[in-house]
Amino acid sequence: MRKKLNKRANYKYILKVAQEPREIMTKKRKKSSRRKRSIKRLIFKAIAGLTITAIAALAIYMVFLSYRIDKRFAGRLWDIPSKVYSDTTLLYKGQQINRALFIEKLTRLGYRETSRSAGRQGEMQISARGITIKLHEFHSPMYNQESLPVQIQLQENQVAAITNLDTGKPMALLELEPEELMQYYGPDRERRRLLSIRKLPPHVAYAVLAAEDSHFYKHPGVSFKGVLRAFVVNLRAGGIRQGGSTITQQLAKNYFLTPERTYSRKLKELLIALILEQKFDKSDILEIYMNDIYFGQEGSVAISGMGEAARFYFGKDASELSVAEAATLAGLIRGPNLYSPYKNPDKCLKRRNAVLLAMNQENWLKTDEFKAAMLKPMKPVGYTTSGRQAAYFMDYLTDQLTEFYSLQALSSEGLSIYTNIDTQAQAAAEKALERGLSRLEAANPRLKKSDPGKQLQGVIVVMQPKTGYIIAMAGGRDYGVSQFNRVALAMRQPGSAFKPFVYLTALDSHTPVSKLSNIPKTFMIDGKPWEPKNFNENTASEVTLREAFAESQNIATINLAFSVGLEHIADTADAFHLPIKKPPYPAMALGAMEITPLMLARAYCAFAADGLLPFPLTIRDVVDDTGKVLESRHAHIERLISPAKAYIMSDLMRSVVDIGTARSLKYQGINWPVAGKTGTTNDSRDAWFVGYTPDILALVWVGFDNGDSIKATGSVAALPIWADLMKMLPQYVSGEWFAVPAGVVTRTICTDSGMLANINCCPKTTEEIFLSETAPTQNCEQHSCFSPFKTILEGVKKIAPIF
Amino acid sequence: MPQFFKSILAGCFLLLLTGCVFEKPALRQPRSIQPEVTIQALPQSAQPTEAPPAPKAPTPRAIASLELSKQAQSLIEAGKPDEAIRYLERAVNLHPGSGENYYYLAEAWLLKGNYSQAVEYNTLAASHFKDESEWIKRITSQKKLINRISKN
Repeated sequence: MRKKLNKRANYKYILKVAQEPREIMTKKRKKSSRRKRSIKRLIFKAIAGLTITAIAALAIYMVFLSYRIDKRFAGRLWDIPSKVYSDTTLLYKGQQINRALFIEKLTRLGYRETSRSAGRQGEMQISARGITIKLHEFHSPMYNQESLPVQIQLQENQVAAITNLDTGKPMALLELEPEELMQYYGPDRERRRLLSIRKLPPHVAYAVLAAEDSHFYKHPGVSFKGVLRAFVVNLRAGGIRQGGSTITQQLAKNYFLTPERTYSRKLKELLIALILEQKFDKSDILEIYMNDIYFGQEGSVAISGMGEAARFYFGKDASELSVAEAATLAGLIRGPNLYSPYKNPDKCLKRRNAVLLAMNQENWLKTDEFKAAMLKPMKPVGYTTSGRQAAYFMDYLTDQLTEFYSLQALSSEGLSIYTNIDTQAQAAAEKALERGLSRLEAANPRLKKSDPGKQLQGVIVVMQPKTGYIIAMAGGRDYGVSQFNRVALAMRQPGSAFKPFVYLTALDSHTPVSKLSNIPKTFMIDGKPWEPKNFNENTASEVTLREAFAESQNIATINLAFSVGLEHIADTADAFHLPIKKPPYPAMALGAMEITPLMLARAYCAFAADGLLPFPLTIRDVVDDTGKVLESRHAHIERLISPAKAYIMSDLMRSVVDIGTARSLKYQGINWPVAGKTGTTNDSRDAWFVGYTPDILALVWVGFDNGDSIKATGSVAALPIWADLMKMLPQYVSGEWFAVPAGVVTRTICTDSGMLANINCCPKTTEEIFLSETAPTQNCEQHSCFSPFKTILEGVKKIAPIF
Repeated sequence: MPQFFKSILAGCFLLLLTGCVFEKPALRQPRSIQPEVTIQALPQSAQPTEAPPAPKAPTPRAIASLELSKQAQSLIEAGKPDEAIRYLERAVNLHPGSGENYYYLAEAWLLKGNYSQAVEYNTLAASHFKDESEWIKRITSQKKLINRISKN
């Protein structure tokens, strides 16, 4: 029974055991499939999670990129260097011109000589009879010039006529555009001229599209066909060889990315391109691209944007580009140096023709236009990488500008700064200075120094006295060697060039015929004896004020200074903005103080400007990049002395030139009335000449920076430079003298007594001018003569005035 | 007696001659003063009644200066003093002896509201027109106007 039971149990067990693997298997299977499902779910969840995360991350990244784009495009897109311009150039019938300097000026303005008639903007034809110019178009808030063909007829060096060749009518005035002198570059040193795509002829944009992205208006910022093609090429090459970039991608790359070639950078580029297309119009993207792209190099300066490229390669505005020129520039984008018309004209021509062909194939250029453009020769305008013009003036200007604008603003805000500089006067000043200093060195080899930093130096500053316009400034011999602007910064002793302020002070109590003691005296200065001497021996015990001034007599001047009062002279100097140490000292009367050449030139302007002291003006207008005038500066005048005193001083200074220390001027070709004063300091450390007419004033200083003697006087060292300068500037010479103002009277004087001459009695008489309040009223007592007939006649006159 | 009168007459004649024996005064070379070139036609009332000496032809600089001055006058009328001053300063630089430019500079500065500069230029204009009554009238009334406006 137990066995039966055991058997049954065994059976059950066996059955159970037999059945168990099946269940186990089924369970295991179920378990396994559940596990698989859960893994799958897990994987799916992971993938889904990752995808969602990736999408979220991408979305966040795109929001970030979008923010970056907004931020970048909200502000100024480019740093536009501010430009400094010269004054415009005025031409009129009858004007004397320096032909050579004038043609140099036209060349600097970008006018190119042509053998045929000047038909294209910026061309000029020079002949013996004159110059025909097709003017550049130029627009500024103060000055607008249309592109006119004009003929300037010349007779010798005089403008005989100016004719508008469009109308055939004579022009009373012709004003040539200002000359660009300098740009305030930022660290990138880029030149850029912004253009508006709406103002361009369609062929310019089509040329760019044909050269860079013919499907620009069809793709959404990314050309997937192009990307695929580039991918295949790169796969084969085993690295990145091709970008397949659209114009939008190029823009994305230029603005937001570094230039390295990696897949991650490429991905960013695609994303940015897609965002850009969502945010901006196609035409806006194209305009930004055309303004941004690099077009080559002018020396160390990058030419950026099609507007600047049009000016650099073809000397014209982008709106005036022909089809062939537009295709040339578009072709440059792929390789500005490789296809440069200046460096590789053959390659440039082939590339241009390829672009023209692409334009034709895209139906953007008719076949006849295409054929005509293909035949056009490729003629770039040419350029000269000239050095900085008026470099010292530019430094002086920058010092003034940076009081109002930071250097960062000047290098980025695209301001236009118009100045009073006349580039012809500037060129003449630089030439005259260099020639004069070389001449001095040749005459006295001891002045020549082997170390360029220690060489003989000089300055010239030229002003228009009535307005204070600084029209030329040479602050040294060579800016490359020394950037120290001596005109504005060098504190030098003026020597006798200070004397006009002594004599001016004396005019209240003295007249040109006043007798001054010329007897040497010894003065005790700080317990030490000081005895001034005359440069030229003059043994006369007395000299007239006019003679003393003309001959620059030191002894008479010192005696006069003591007679007038040193305090009064110091007050005069103070009024003229000449710094004098207080208390005043006797040597001050002989110019023993330190002032800058500009201070002295400005002070002399008052004599030439009816007694009004002008402010020295460099800046005329500052205009922002939208054409808004930010600043306008006008002549500012300050009354210092009466027109009568100014006239007398000019007349005294004319004597310096006629009969005094500057009389050699007339042997140097200066045959028109000039007022001037020489100056030489102790041991000939400084040589000065300041000369002026009603139209122009120029100051010349010569010396060594370290104060070594130049072994020459002002009349030998500085005066010939002044004469050379003036002969180069006939347009500033009218030959006129000052009109006699109210308050000046002319009297006939006995030269012996300085009193009113007794006509027919005084042996030597002269005409002299006086301030009306100090004119002599007494007749000469030395030469009263008895004439009975005259006495009778005068007696009769008293009785019967009719006689 | 007739002999006596003859002697007296002869004596008088000799006395008269004494004036001729003195040396003629040696004059210092007078400054060649250019007559002021006034180009703008003055009103009929200002024209001299007697035949004036032939006027000196204006210099090319004076003509160019006048052209600029005319343009400046239009700008003053158009209420653009800054542009007018720009033209007038160039006109002054070309022909500093023209009082007309100073008159219009005073006008432009007055328009700008800078009375001190207006007064300076008015004074300068007066010193250049000391012999021309019509201009003196205009300058005087300008001066009054500047004074009146500056006081208000």
